[in-house]
This record gives sequence, C-alpha cells and structure tokens, in this order.
Amino acid sequence: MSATAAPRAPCVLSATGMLGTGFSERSLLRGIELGAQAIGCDAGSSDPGPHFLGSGQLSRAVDATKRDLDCILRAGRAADIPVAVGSAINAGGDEQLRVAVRLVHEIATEHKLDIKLAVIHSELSREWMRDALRAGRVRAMPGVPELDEATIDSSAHLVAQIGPEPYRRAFDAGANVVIAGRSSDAAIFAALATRLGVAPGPAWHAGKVLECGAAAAVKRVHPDCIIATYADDAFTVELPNPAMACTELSVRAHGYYENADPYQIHEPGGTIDTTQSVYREIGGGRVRVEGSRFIPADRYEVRVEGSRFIGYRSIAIAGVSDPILLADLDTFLSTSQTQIVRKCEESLGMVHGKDFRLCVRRYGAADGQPSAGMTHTVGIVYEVVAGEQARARAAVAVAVHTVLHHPVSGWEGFVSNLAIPFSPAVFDGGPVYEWSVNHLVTLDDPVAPFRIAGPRTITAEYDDAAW
Amino acid sequence: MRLGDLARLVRSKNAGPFMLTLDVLFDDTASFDQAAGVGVLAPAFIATLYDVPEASVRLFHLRDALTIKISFPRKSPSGAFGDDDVYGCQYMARLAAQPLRIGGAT
Repeated sequence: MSATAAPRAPCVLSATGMLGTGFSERSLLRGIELGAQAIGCDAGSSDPGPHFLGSGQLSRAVDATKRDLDCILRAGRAADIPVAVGSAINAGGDEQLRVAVRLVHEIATEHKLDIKLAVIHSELSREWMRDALRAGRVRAMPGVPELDEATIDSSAHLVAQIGPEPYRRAFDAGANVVIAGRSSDAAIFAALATRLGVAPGPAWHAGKVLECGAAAAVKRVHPDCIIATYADDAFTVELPNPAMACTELSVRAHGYYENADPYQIHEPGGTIDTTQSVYREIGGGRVRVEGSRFIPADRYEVRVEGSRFIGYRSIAIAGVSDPILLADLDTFLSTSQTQIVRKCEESLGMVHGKDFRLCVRRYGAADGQPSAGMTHTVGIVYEVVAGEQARARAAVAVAVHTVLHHPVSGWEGFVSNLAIPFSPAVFDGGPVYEWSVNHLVTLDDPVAPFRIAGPRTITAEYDDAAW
Repeated sequence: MRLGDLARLVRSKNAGPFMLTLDVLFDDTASFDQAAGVGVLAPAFIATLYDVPEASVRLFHLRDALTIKISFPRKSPSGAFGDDDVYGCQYMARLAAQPLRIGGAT
C-alpha cells in the first residue's frame, strides 16, 4: 500500500502495547515491508499497582516476554534497523531491567545476532532524590501529597520516566538495540522518530498512539503491531495486519484513553498539544494526523515513581447465602468485625490499627435476586496486613473462625455462617507495597542522572557486572 | 433510559496511580448531544457520585470524537490498603447505571 507511495519516508513500528502480551510475527514482518525503519516496544506500566516496583518481581511470565523480544530482535537485525524497548520490564527498576538484558543475551546467542546493546538505567537512589527535594526541584502530581524525606527514605525503589534524550544518546553512541528501564511510553517512539529527522510534534503525538500497539484500531482483535509514517508536520498510522483498521474516530478516541487531559499531555521536556490536530482517513484503514505540536517546557521535568513496603498480606474468601443472615448483613458484618478485633487482641496480642490493619470487602448486594434453582450468595473477602506474614495469617484465621460462628439475629442456637471454598481457608499474599512517590523532578540534564551501559557487542555469556 | 444504554461504551481507567479517567463514547452526534445536555454528566453530579471534591473534577466535551471525558483524583491511590480496583476499570459501572434525566438539570 503505502510502501510504494513514499518508500523512504520516516516510519516507526510499535510491536505491541506491552512486551509479552504478544503480536503476530507476520504483522511485524509486514510492517517492515511497509517501510518501518525502527522498532519500538513498551514493556511496562504502573497499571498492575505498586507491588512490582516495590518488590522487583515481574507481573507476567518471562517466557511470553522472551517470545516477543525474540521476534523483535530477529526482525530488527534482519532489516538492520534500530530497536528500542522501554520500561523493561513492568516497573522498569534495575532488577527488572536485568531480566530483560539477560533475555537479550540469550536471544542473541541462540540466533547468533549481531547486537550492539546499550542499557539505560532509570532507577534513582534515595540520596539523589533527597538532594533533588532539598534543592527545591520536586513538585507533586495532581492528587498526590507533597513529598518529604521520610517518604523518600521509606521507598524501596525509585524510578524516573525518562524522556527520549537518553535513548538518542545511546543510539548515537552506536547501539543498534537499546533496552531502557522506566520510560515515558511515548518517549520510546519519539526518540526513534526524531532520530529519523521527524519534527517533535508528530514524533511525540504518534508516540502516544503507537505505545499501545493496535489499541487504536476500530476493533483490536488481538494485541498487534502498528506503524506510523511521517511527513513534515503529519503522521499516518496504519495496522500492518489486514484484519484490523483505524478510522478517524478510533485514532482520535484512542488519544483520549488513559490520559487525564485529552489535549495537553505532559511529557518529559514539554507538552503534546493536540488542540490543532486534524484527523483524516486516507483509505486502506490509514489515518493521517496533521498539526500536532510539542511545546517545550521552561524546565525539563521527569515523573518519578516510588513504592514502599507496608507489611504482609493474608486473605480469606467466603460466601454467605443464608437468607436470614443476608436480611441483616450490615449489622452482622459490623458486629462480627468488632469481635474479630477483640479476639485478635485477646488471642494474639495484636492491636488493630497498630499491629495490623483489617479490611472486609463485600461483593454483591444483600438483596440480590437468586436465579432459578440457585441461592443468592454474597462474597466476603477478609484481608489483614501486618508486620510479619505469620501474624497476618493468624489474624485472618481468627477472623474466619469468629465470623463462622458469629450469632445471626433471626436464628437461635449455634450457627455456621460461611461457605469457605478452600482448605486451608487462609492465603498468604506476601509483601505489600503502596505508591509513595509520584512527583515531577526538574533536571538540568535529561541524560546525566541515568547511567547508560554500553553500547557493546554481545559476544559472551551474560555478565551482570558489565551492565 | 440509563447512560449506559445511550452510550456506545462507558469505560474507566487509571491515568497514573493517583488519577482516574472515565470516557463515555457515543455512536452519533444526536446521542452525544442528548447526553451532554443532562445533569448526569455535570461536575457537581460526578463529584457526588464518586465522593470527590467538585473542584477536582475535570470534564471534557469532545464532540469531534463523540466522547465525554471525566477525570479526577482517586480517593485512594491504586493498590493502597483498602483500594478495591487497582486498574480503576470498574468505576465506570456507577456512571453507566445512572438514569438519564433528559433535558433536566441535576
């Protein structure tokens, strides 16, 4: 389609919305046929919550991540075009970045790929963050409390959503593959596009569309690739998979997804301004967007995320179907909770609010209607967070036993109230984290705080010290 | 008729761990205009529905995209103790269930 119309127009491919969620390899190769001169992929998100930055664990199986990375690296090297993977992996802290770098080594070795790898570290030390705070360079994002030193000190990990500059530095130094920790999603693609000579406006706005992969399609049948082809102050998005297409409306609407403000999207070093953007369908499921601007900010700010440990979680799940109990569920839950708190102190010496926190979640309405042949059941989840796993587990066990036989007004005699689906009833959720930092930090230099290892040709086994 | 019956899609999602954004998408300008004129989609009503300060509610009428967008800070950050929707995906339900009071103020 467009390959013959403008064979050497700058063109960037996004493999999928999140590395490890998959895409069709055929779409990837078709995208390169259509003229892609760089491949990018976003590999992380704050969506799965604070646990992954805090713990350094992965939210997805590493096998699926390796499959996607394998396709991307082989395609990138076969076409001899740069590859950038950002927010590797999940939260994009150093521990998770290491997993991605190890995967690149495995893949390079298995397929004998000529990879000159550069690795960008987005993780920041607490000392660095304290200095930034003391220097007055930190401000809170909307809805976020002001930052103090105690919050920084309590954070397990801090990462910055880096801009395109560190990527460009790494490619300029000779890398053909760049793997970076936490990044602005759009910056991955803005870096690739601006290196091809694209103006910041279309480079950034297209980046915002590209970072979610095929999500800008009218109907995303499955996670897949998307390409942007650039010309002057415009870009055209297109899905290499003929089973999916974009429309003016789908691209426009996608721009609004996950963004608090649809017209002004703040990014490292400036704002994507789409107020003047004009969207037009140009046939073949392609949409051309003109007039998008990137307005540089007075100061260069990056968003820093932090997560802190707050204890260990245990939970139990139960169902309540007794119509007499359901008729008075609110009272039952509140009086039984008082008993749980009393029993935990009496039996375990655990004081509510000091030694543990209890959360009782109810799923379903007490007055819901049963369907034919079924009882109506309300789900209850008991959750405790305490300083030690064994203590959390002990308190949930107390909660379950207390509620199991807690009196129900309307019945006389000894009652048994909970349908408990599992033995054991109590599950350990492990360490629990909460978001501690979500603040903007002003940088003098968009690259300096972020260590770039390499570029280096991958020849030997993975060596942690090298990266 | 409820808002969810008129809209093509009502969705909600985190916009970062501390913000929530809801999109109400319509099939045509007629249904967009119908919804845009009712009190269900006014900041005061949204503030009450989600128990957040009215001043924190931002509302965008994106007629060219047949979308009404609403953003406000989450009452508790994603994944905080007691939060029950880490991705913010089901905040949409409350809004979708609201009856449309056509032509009326809240």
